[in-house]
Amino acid sequence: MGLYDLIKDLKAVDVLVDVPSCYVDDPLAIALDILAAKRSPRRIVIIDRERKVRGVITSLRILEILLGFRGSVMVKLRGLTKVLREKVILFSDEAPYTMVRDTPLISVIKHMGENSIPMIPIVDDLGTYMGVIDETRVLKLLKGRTFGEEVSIAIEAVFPSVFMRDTALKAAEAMIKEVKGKAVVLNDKNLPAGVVTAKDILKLPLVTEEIIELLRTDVEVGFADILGKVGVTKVMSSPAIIAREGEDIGRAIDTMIDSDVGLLPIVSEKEGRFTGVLTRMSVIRAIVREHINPLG
Amino acid sequence: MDITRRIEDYIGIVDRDEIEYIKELAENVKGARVLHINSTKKGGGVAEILRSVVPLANSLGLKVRWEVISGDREFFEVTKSFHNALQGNKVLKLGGDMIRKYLETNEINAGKIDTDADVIVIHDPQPAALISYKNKGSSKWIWRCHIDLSDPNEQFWSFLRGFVTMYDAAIFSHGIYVPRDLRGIKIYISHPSIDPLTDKNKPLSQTEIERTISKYGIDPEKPLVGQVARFDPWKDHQSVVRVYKALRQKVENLQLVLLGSFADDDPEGERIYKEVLKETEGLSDVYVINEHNDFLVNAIQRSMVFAFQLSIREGFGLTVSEALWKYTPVIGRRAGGIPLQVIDGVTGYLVNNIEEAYEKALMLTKKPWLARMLGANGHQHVKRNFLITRDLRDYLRIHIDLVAR
Repeated sequence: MGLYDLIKDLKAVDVLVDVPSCYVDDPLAIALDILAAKRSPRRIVIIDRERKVRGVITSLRILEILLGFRGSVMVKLRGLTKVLREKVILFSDEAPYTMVRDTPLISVIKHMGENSIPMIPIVDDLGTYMGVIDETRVLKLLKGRTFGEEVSIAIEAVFPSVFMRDTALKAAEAMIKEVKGKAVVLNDKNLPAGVVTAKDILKLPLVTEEIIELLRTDVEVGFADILGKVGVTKVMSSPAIIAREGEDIGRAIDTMIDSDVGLLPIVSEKEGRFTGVLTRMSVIRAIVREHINPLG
Repeated sequence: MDITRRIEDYIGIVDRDEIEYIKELAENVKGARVLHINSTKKGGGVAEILRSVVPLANSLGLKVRWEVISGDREFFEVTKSFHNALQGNKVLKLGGDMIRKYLETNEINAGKIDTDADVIVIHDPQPAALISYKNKGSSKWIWRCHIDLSDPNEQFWSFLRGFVTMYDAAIFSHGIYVPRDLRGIKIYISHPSIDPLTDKNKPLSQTEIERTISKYGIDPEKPLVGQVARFDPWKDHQSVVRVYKALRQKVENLQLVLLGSFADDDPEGERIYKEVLKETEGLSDVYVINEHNDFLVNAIQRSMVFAFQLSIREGFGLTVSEALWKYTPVIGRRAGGIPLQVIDGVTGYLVNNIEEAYEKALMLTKKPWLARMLGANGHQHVKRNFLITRDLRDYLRIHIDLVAR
């Protein structure tokens, strides 16, 4: 069945997924707890008691707060302990973009790809939150196909990277600087040795234990100091799962889904060098541009 | 400025919960002194948003001021070049005289405007250099960029970037507008918005609509299509006229309206307006109106079968949301924020060229039920995502992030 035939009759409600959410008045520490859990997504939806969508918070945003890049005046004056007990909504990302349940799926995917929107909360006709359509869900729909296009159509050449000798702090800072939730870890030959995500850093036992201790004792700690003492190799996933130049983009999608990774470094075997990355979003953008938009 | 505007006025338009939620956010920055600075009091989306956001934020307990920089015609010609170059005109060159004029005008304004505030929001490139006169202190300076910087003229951008990187944060209307080389400052994304209570967007009776458009010769009984956009080279009025010329061969009595106006800082407007007049000379049922009249925009957008927004480049293209809010679907190009507002096949159609625009336009004129359905979807889409209450919420979040104690 062709791609268009597969998705043309589906509506948003047919494919939405339930991701963990938290309430607007939950403490920030709850969001951190959810995001640091194994197999949880890297962003969660914040809803009010009427289940209206009020915000989204990502693991990168939490990392920014822990390191003082966000809410810095509040952290400085009140201390991180009190900030972790503040309402999560105060720190949420920009207002999420919502669509109604009956929106044709093809329109949702085009909209995500054309506007680089990684996740769209789906609501019913009264605006009540039902679930989301995110990049992973879209890629799962595209899995198992050959597109006849090489991965190069979706490559992102500029992406945060650090070296194996660097610390987790340096990786976190690189991600924050580039506003990306992932970074490639390179070996001394400039080839990908692993991938580190904001979530990997939040999951670090030192971080989670320190947060529990912080909430228990109210004794302030400096997360920059903690992360500055941890090598990035301790937190990265390795070996890096890569895509090769010349590979069909469909195969790269399969790899992303089967390995549950959101980023594939691309290596040119001919030149023996790292040339860029594929992200879930860059793949969706390319598929929309090359395969869905031309269908009209 | 409507100084009586209060957040409670929006009950019934948005949920009461939403209003309560905004009030709760505002509690965290109550008393914060916020200063907005831009380059025009009227004309253009920025002034419109500020006319609503400023009194609304004040009604929530913040202390918000709005100042406008002054400059002569030469300054605004220079900043118009900035605008065009930053949105992608690679031919323009940044000369020494332009730099001198720009810096000199910013310096004069820095001497006139009292910047004693907790948060200072500078809108767009015109006053961006005011950051050079930042006092030592705890004020947070935000650069609010309303234009698309994804593919700028490098010469202009590298000059401006020197100022932008001095800010504490920048707000862009769309994630894809952020220049790749802008790093080291906080970046926020906030879509602009429309105010459903202004003359431009408030509900009108059918009698008011018909009376208003009739004054301009438009026949309320005949189908009407058109584009509401200021006279600017990027809006591509010519393509609209070409599509219309083809359409009128197939649709009897079809009328076209091109409504625009010039902003104070837009010296190019007159030239474009004259070009459009020439292009439509001798065509019956075509109305080219140069007037800053919000009530007229409202009446026209409510009268159209569908609206065009065939801009080649856009800051955001809020006229799309304005039309959608009035249940009028939009046929738009993939430029700026248009694809965010037009969900292809749901709230209108996205087109790549005038042939596609013609095809979709013909379909909507032949199938009014389809136009009504897309228009209804469009209204809901704007209600959820592009109303002023959402914009206000974003500002409150950003203020909380930067200065909440």
